[in-house]
Amino acid sequence: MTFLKEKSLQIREEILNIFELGTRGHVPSAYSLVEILITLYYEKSKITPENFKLQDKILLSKGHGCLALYAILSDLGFFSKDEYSKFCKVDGILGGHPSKHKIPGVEFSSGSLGHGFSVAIGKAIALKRKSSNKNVYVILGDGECNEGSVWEAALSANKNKLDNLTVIIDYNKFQSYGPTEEVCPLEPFQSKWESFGLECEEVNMVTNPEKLLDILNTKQISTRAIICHTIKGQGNRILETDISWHHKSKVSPEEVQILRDALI
Amino acid sequence: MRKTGLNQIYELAKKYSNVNFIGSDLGPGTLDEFRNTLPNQFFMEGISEAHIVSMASGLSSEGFKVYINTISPFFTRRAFEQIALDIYSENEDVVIYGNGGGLVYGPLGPSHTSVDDFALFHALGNMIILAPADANEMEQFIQQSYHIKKPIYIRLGKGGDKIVTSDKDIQVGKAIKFNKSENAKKIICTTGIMLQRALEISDSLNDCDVLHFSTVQPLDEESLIENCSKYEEIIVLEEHLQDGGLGTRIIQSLFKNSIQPRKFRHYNLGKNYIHTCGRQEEIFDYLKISPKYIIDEIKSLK
Repeated sequence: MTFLKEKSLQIREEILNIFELGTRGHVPSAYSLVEILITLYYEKSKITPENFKLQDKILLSKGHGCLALYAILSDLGFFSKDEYSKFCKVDGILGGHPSKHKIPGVEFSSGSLGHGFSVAIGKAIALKRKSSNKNVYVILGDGECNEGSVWEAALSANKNKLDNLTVIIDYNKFQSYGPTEEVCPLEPFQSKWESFGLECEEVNMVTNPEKLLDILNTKQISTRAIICHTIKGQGNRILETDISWHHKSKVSPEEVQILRDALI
Repeated sequence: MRKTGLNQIYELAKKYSNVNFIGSDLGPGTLDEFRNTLPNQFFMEGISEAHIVSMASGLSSEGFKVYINTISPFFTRRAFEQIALDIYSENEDVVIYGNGGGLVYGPLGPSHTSVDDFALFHALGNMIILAPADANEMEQFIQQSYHIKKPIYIRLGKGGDKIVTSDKDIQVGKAIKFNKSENAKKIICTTGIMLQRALEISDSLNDCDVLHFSTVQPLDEESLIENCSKYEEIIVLEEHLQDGGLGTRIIQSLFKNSIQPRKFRHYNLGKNYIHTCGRQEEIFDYLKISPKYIIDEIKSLK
């Protein structure tokens, strides 16, 4: 089993642990992110609590996928797993969206969509000004790309020639109301990014997730967009097919066990 | 005032390499020298205010000081969420330099006039709100703004405003008193370019002092309480809608501190956006809040 495969299974189990102890959360939105975040945190940027401030900047703009981020940050030693049971509780640090003021390892406070790309542009410019060779990665949801500010940022990334910035889109094909192609179609998605002046790659994160790291390791000449084809609820037979799990609160231990048994 | 402030930002950028300026499609030639001499610190982005605010947040989060500039309501209204979440909530070191405060763009109608900015930013209780009356005050504020590493909003006047603060000690957070009469029974509390109008009114009345709150937030409560407890009549004059501005804030402070003036008047721009187009002074006349109307009213109501 590859590192990515093994770590993904572990992180998906951890996400269910937070879900069970916190009794709520957006699990399917977190599951589609797992391979993307593992590739960045463990393989590309190799983030640790010690090097966090000086390493690449990773911004989760789709903050509702935070369970995947929390599972990874605790696995990397940023905070104790004791926080799991305090998810969304007043005495805990883990909120329903990530806050950099409370949670060690969080680069950007998110929640409202369409902010992260522009903040990432500011950070990418800042790194260049400091002559840093580090990169900025910002992860957007596909539904998030409905926000006009995302495309304001795309215009600006092209103008400012930011070859140290990569936009990664978790294209899980679902947004709150239903399928992305019905609510607000994005296709032809790759050519949209290219027409804005970004170099754009596509990766199938289900059949060939290792390709993401290969792309990240190639030199970029402009801001890059990587469209990651994922599945909402990816890696779980039930979550991949049953849309009723997309918003869930007051989950029972029995229900979580059913999901554990359905991990792929 | 606008040019003085921009030039001061350029001076800061020359002195401190962490100072950046981001404009949103400003007029041609704006800060050309800055752009040519310090191109790494100068950004002229497109018409994308929401993006610019978040971009400034990103720069600030990496240790830079950022001045952002366009017409005020395109920041305060259009990009309010970005300001609230990415600047205010994160306590970033960003100065919002808002052109056309109040009715400067009166000929252009409600989209361009900034008559609700105090109310919007009063909701963000720790946002510093500055409304200088003249270029002198603006110059002092920009110089001081570099050292205040918190979110600041500056409301600009039109430019060419009469200089009235040159002999005053100007400090962010401090109200400025203009004593006109030893036995004054009235005091006008004002802010921004209404100071010049307040001084004109005070000159016509024999018993009226003026207290200028160029820092609208945090309000200099100490000065307000110390001064206002001495007067029978408190008059607030502001270029802002009735609710949520300086007047509202002053009433709140007076009430909280059990100060009850015998009379209280509040001259403002009314409850609604102003669809009547005209130059700033013409709209003041139209709304009957220019000095001549206020002087007549106060004299007739003795």
